[in-house]
Amino acid sequence: MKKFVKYLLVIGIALASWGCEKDPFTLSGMAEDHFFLKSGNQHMPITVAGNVDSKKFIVIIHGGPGGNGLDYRDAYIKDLVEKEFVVVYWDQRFAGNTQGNGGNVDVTEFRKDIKNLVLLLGDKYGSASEIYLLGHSWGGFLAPYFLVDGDNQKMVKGWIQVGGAHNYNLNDSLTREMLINYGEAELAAGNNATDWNEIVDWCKENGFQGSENSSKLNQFAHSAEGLFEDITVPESSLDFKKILADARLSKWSNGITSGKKSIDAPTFQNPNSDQLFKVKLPTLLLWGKYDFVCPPELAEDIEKYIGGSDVEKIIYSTSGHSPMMNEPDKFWSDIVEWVRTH
Amino acid sequence: MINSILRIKVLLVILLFQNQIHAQEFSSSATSEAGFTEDYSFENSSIYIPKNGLRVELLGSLVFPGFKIGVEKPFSYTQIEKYRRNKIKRLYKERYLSYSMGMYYQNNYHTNIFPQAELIARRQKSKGFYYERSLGLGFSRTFVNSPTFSISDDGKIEEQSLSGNWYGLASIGGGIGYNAYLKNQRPYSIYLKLHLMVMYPYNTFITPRPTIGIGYNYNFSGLGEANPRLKYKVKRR
Repeated sequence: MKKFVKYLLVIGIALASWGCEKDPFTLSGMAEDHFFLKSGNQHMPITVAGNVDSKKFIVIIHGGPGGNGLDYRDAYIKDLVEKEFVVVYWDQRFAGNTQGNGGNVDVTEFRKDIKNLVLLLGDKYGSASEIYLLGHSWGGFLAPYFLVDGDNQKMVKGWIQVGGAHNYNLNDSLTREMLINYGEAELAAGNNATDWNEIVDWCKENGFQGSENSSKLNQFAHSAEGLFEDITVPESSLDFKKILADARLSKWSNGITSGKKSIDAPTFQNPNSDQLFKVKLPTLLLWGKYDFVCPPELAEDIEKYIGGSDVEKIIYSTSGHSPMMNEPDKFWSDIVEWVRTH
Repeated sequence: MINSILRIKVLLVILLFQNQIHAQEFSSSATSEAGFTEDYSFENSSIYIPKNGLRVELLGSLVFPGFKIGVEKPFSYTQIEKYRRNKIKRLYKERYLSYSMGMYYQNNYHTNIFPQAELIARRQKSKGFYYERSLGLGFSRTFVNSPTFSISDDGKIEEQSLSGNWYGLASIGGGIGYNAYLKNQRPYSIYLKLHLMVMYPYNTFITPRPTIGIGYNYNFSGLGEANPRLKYKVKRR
């Protein structure tokens, strides 16, 4: 019986080793590389896809916390961006398909992970590689949080901020204000009275501070987006190949863990706005007009405080919190055009 | 005098334990639904004894294929006879311990090796079909399926070989099968089984791994003789 178990273990390890690839880095042409970044016992998956000859790598810092890098990978990004540049899809710790037994959830660890990711890309794809950080939503907190620390921005060529929450307190106050202003206008026009009454009444009776209020405001912000006909409805995101490509139950599990751990709680003590003067990088700000989750006034806050002068802002008139889904053609084309010239 | 006392003691011990000795082999008493206990001759009643088996199962889900190899050993079974008018219906409630080693591969995620022990409750019909449910405990060692790199505090990049995680594993399962021995005296059975495995701690929470499996179970003498404890039940209407 013992011999039987021993033979099975040997066969199992041999088969497991067979699954591991050597040297996954494509150094010319079109890449579709997969590897992991290990930090503690966290194994964070990375997919690098696109035209490596461009030497321009757009690193997506996904939303959440608990989101998924590969959720951004659709037909539009493949056709419009990957043919010209490289896109790096990375799952943060406790997010997406990241595997592990737990570990540190402090935001300083997320910042360290971004630094390690950039170091790894430079080491494997060449020091001439140019890195652009694209932060969306929660990722829009992490990107500037990384850039303002030490010399980190020297590792990066440009910063793309998409509906990002660089300042949580300011974010919540703007969300509350936007919900009240738009809500009153919609009520005056007689649109969706039941929904807007609930939203406006709650906002007027409650402030924006505290995690409970923040959570409620976030919930109303997502609901409000569904109440505007002006917003372009995203195409169906049902892509069976994408669904089968990653571990959906891992996403579910990590999503729950991220919520339980309140990973973004420390962000209230790290407003970023007062540190933005340190950022001198070329910066592109992309926002949806109807982004209640991270209102467009946050882009104005960045414009006001950032240290660099090369700042461009684009507002998408029929988009909400995710313009890459509402207006994907224009969104990705704008990014490609900007990266070409920076 | 001392010898007499010793002889009496030995006799008392024999008298006290003799029916337990019989119970270790087969309980030859039966209990009827009406509350009467009837004695049956075992040779006339029992036509089937579950055996040790070697199990091979292909399992997986939509996104990962795998397999499981193990052994199952019956440790008890109850032969139930239901008398309805002039007909006798027999079925067997069997209990097994199963020890297995499983493995699955999920692309761009991990390969998982998981030894486990399961307690299986099987309800075997006399025509061969059965259904079973199981509870399992084990552990899991994953190996991530792509090269893995770590970076030290001073910026040194190292590749990690055979990188992965350890998890505890619990499972529940349910399945149906057909045992070819009961009708045709063939020493095998085939089955279809659903499992829900849960790995813990997965980033302080759990991750579920549902699978479906098709299996084959072969009874052969190389696994040794099974000596399950037999109980016998009669139900009359």
